[in-house]
Amino acid sequence: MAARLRPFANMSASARREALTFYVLISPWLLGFIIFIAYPMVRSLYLALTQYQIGREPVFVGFDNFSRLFQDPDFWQSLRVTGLYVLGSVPGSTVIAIGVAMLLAQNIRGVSIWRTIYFLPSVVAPIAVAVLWFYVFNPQYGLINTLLGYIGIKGPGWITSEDWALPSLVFMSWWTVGGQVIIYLAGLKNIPKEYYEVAQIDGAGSWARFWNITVPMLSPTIFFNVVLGFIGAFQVFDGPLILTNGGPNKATLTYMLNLYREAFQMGSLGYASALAWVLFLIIMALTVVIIRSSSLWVYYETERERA
Amino acid sequence: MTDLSSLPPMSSPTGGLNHAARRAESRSGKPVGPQFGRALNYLILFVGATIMLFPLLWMFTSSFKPEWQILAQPPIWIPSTWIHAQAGSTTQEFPLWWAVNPDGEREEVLKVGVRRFTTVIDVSQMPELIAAPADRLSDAQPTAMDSVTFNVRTLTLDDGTTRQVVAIARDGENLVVAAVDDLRKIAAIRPLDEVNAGKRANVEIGGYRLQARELEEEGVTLLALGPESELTVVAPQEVASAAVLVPAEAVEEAGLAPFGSTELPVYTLADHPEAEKYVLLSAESWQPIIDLEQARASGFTVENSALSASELRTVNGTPDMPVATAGMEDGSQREVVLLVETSALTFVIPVDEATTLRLTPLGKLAQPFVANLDGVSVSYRDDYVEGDQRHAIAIVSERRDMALIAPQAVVEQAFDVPSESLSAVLTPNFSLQNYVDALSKDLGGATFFTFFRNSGLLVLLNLIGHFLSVTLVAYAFARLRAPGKNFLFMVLLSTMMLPFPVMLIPTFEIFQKLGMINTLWPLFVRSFFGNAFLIFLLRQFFMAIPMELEEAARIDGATTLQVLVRVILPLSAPALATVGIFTFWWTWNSFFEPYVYLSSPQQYTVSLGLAFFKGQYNTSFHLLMAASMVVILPIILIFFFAQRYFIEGIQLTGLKG
Repeated sequence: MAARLRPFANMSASARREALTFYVLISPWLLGFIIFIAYPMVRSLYLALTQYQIGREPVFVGFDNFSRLFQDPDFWQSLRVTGLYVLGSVPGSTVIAIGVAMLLAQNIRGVSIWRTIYFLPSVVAPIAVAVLWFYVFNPQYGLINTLLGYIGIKGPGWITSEDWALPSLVFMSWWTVGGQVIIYLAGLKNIPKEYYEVAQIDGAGSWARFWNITVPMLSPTIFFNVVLGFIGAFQVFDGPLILTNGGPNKATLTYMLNLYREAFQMGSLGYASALAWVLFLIIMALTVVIIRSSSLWVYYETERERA
Repeated sequence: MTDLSSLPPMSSPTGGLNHAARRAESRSGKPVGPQFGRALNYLILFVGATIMLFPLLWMFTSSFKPEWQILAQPPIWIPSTWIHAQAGSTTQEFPLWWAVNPDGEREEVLKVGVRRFTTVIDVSQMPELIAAPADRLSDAQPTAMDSVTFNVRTLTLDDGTTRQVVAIARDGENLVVAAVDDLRKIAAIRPLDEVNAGKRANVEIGGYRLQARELEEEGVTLLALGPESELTVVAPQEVASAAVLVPAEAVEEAGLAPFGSTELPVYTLADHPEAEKYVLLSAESWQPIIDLEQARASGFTVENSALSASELRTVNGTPDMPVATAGMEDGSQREVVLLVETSALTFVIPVDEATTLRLTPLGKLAQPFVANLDGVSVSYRDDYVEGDQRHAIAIVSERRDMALIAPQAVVEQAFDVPSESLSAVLTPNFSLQNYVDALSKDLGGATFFTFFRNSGLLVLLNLIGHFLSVTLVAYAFARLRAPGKNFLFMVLLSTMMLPFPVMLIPTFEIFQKLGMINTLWPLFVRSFFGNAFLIFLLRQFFMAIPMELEEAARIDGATTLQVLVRVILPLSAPALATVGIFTFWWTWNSFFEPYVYLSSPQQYTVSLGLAFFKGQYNTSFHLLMAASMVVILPIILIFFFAQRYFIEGIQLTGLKG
């Protein structure tokens, strides 16, 4: 009986001691995982089903929060804004990052200097970036409209214009693409150059080499970064807060900005938990879709080996 | 995801980088196409790099600009100071401008006057007038025709044809217009003050009432059509040094006098011969001031009853200062200047000690503060600028109207130029004033130094937390065998992709229950429980360390902890550096969590402080840029010295496929 309850029973004494040491050593993380990840996830699911004003006790209300949510124009607006932002930010920065990485992977002089320059904007604090672009986008004194003025173009109001505010945030996100450039550059360096040599002998042009070697070999990296970029973009917060504070007229009210306001300005922790879970489910669902579809476009070398 | 646990070990950062670099070199065999393609590559990279760097550079330069240069149109790219010329021996300074003189040379000049002009027509020659609905007329567009400028509008007629017209008057909903072609034959340019000096005259022409001006001397009635244009009269900067400050009431108008190709009003001085003519450079209120330090050291208060009747005298070159004799407590008498008079007490300074008493244009003094000097409230400013120095000065006695004048002969070289052709005389100057101002601003009881201290403390605590926890956990995952390990490692990796908002509110609840809201605690305690990415990073590194080294130590009887501390960690300096740098980077730049957990500025971190600062000084871009520069500087410095650790770490985050 006792033996059956002890999972390490059939191990040698030293193996048992090693296993014990393992669990002692990872205990900080395991504890942190339970307190700050596992418990909060379960708890927030429960809170999503309660009415819970900050400072009071949660009251179970079933699915009220969710039915309220689907009738909340701010929810739909924030979903629309965030969706458009993700659609602009993720593909745009992926294409830019791969493009720059491909250029750097050519036998370019001073690769490390170029890489430093492209990475620099990603190093500085996102808030400083947002404050800087708040100035860059200023319709009157900003850098962009000043430069456009030189070629005789009267630039739009950017962050003060309902039409341009969201595109402005997308442009700003492209500026901090440097981290991805580094990742793709490293990914490109891992493609054995023999593949290109063989392809060239076979008479493949540079376009064919790109589509038939570079893209498939890079696809796991692209896949992983698109998923990460996508999860990150769904949670965009700093930029819209600093540049537009969700405005003008809620044109940049992103999902997280809306959630933050509900939770910490309105104090509706229950409703905000429901919002958080809906965001979680959306992200998970789309991630699953991407992963499922990945077998169509992601090429893993292990598949080839198995075949 | 299943492939994640069987990831290959991470190469050591140095080794990895060199390896990558070597491989890049060996790629030179890859054909790169014709020369044109290569040039295009560099061109695209260069354009991209410009887009990456230019805003940062702009932030850097803007952080050194005085505010007016931020707002200047056309833009001023390099932070500069505007060169001024001192007006005689006074505290006034005239800004200098670049102007092209009649000889075609660029010259540093100061403005001595303006001449305004307008387009006029003689009403007796008025052509046919038409009333047209305002919505059929375009906006007025100043257009030069021959040497005359008109505010031309396009009138669209019923049949769709258009005519160029000028609006003459308003008639209810309609504008009364005349054809440009008719007007250009009779129009002329006249000085605006000449036209305005004429008597108002209401003229009726074709049934429309027009407001014109009758110039009686010439016997004509003129109608001003606009647009107004402006010429600025300028003079070589030497004029400034010849300037003399006199009381405004001593200056009398003496008509216009020609100066080269231009003309200026000239003045005579009371008590001076009529033949001595002067040009007026400025007329404004001037305020006596004295160095605050001198007022404090030598000034004192006397009761009004101890003062004799005052008389006005020039003291230290400052005219019309009230001077009286004060009876001192020891029975002696002193001659004193009355600086600040109240109903019972007067703040005075002995005449021979008022060596910093002077006049300054009121425009140079902003809203004053008040200090108590020996029982009397005295207005003062501590940021009064004279030359390139700041002074703390007391504002004393009465302001008076003064005029700065220069003898006519000195201004002979004056000429006029279109006002818009003038540009400021600038010299590059990277002043740290914005930094001083931004860092010393009081932000709800805190300054940026408070934010630095808080962020620094958090970095330190998070470093301790991560080094303690991450090394242990990473070592366990890298080296030890235990049932459930692979499963737990997968759990660890998947937490890296978990969207944090779903944990946000319960986590907030935990810290709220612990009474840690608005403290720094929520921002560092979790680092003592490890961090998935850093554990993963360090585990990859540990796996690359040969097992033999460790086994040798174990044979000598070392415990796991001893092995970790004595064998593994000393070999892991690069990976530990990466852990440290990422911890610093995240802590320094983190915004959302401080934003959620902190509410009083005394607790703010740098990022949060910057956001708060931006809320307070929304439009002071010069201060915003200086503050942002201060916030990003530490991370930029670390980045340049330890770039490879950033890059190795970033590569690892993105290459898990």
